[in-house]
Amino acid sequence: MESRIQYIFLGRMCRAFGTLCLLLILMPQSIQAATPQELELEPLVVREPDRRDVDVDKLDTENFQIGGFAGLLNVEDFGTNLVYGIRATYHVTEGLFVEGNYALSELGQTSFELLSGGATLLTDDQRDLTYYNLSIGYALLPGESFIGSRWAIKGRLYFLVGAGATDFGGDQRFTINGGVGYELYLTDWLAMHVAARDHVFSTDLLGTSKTVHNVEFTGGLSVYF
Amino acid sequence: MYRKNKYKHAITGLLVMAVLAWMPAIHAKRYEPLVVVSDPYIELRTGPGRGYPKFYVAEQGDQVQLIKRKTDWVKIRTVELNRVKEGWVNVSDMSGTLDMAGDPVIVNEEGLEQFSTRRWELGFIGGDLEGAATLTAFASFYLTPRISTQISATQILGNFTDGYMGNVNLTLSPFPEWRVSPFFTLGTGIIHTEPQTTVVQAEDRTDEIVHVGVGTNLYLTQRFVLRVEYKRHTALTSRDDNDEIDEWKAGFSIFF
Repeated sequence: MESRIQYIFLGRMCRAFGTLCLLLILMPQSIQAATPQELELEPLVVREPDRRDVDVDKLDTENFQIGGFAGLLNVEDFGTNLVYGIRATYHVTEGLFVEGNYALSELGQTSFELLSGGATLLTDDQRDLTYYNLSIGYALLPGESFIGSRWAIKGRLYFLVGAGATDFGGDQRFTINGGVGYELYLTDWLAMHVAARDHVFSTDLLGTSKTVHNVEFTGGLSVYF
Repeated sequence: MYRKNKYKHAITGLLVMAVLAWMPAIHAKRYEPLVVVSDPYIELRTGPGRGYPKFYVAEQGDQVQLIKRKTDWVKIRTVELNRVKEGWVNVSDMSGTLDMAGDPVIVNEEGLEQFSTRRWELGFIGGDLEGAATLTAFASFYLTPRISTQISATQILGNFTDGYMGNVNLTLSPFPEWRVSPFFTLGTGIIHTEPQTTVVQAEDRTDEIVHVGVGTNLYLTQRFVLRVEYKRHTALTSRDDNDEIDEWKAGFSIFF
């Protein structure tokens, strides 16, 4: 009985606390907006109206990148299939970046299904695969590559590692990914990628639990903004 | 179920189209101030990075136009003998330039000070919740440098159970000016667990949870922060005993 009362009491407390936190998240914008201006004094020296300081922070930045990719994804036991997805990147420094991916693919048939004639392990719906991940990347070897003697193309090699989830066969799997890619700049803001990645997760879909490596090769286009 | 997948494809298609439609708008008119080189010279590179070759030098007194910025590099344009040169210079070289009124150009490099006065923080964290892997996305808002509120969504990926968790919390960071800055959290939320398809005879559950936690931020560079955290959740079950759940996690965040 006592623990029941404790449960009800704690439940109410935590709901009230949750509401308070949410309010604090939503409110601060207006609090911020109100206070500083009221306290600000009139400047003693009025500057000429046409004179503006040049501030590097006001320049347009191109630290975000968004794009699409397509390629081949091999899922152990289920063959190699088309994969395509979208990717968003934030560049922290000229080398360091964080990248998020969301992609779709479809599983093929296992050898068992092919040889047995009629047996199916998964329904059509369970053969749809989606994954998402967030990775940290570091670009090495930036430089120019040459095509013939007239064309120089800027590019860089990058490595990345990250975590995410892969969803297929009616289950989601924690997935570690790592890979290497090459990014070529067609213009300042348009880039082309080729990348190879390994997605590692454990699965018990075929009876015993095992860790599988699933290799993916993709190419893509992206824009900086 | 089939229809749900059709939606997935449609949503991806729409996102890709939105990106394509947006591309021309990205390069609209913007702030492109003129400055004068005051250092003896500044070097222009063909790309925004150390590894790209230097191909031109703008001399003292040359007028250059600042076009845009990519991480630590600024793209500039200069006109020499009617030939336009465009290249990238490091943002630190901008302190060797003056605006047209003769005042130094303002260069605020990201640093510890920006970290300790940050307002917004977005992050991604991987962890372990009693043997299950977790993936968490969070957003924090700093009311003051020491006090912040955080909202987070967690996906739980276990061997036998999957689930979701949503939390809001208050975070206290007593030493915001330190590069390694510890914090304490107190919060509440909801946990929903569902057994995997291979496990039968178990049911979905949703419980309210409260948590206390401790952790530390490590300011690495620019707007990038590493984060390590421990949380002790108490699930308020309707049974006689409340469940205690330990969560360890590590990840990174970006602040604005």
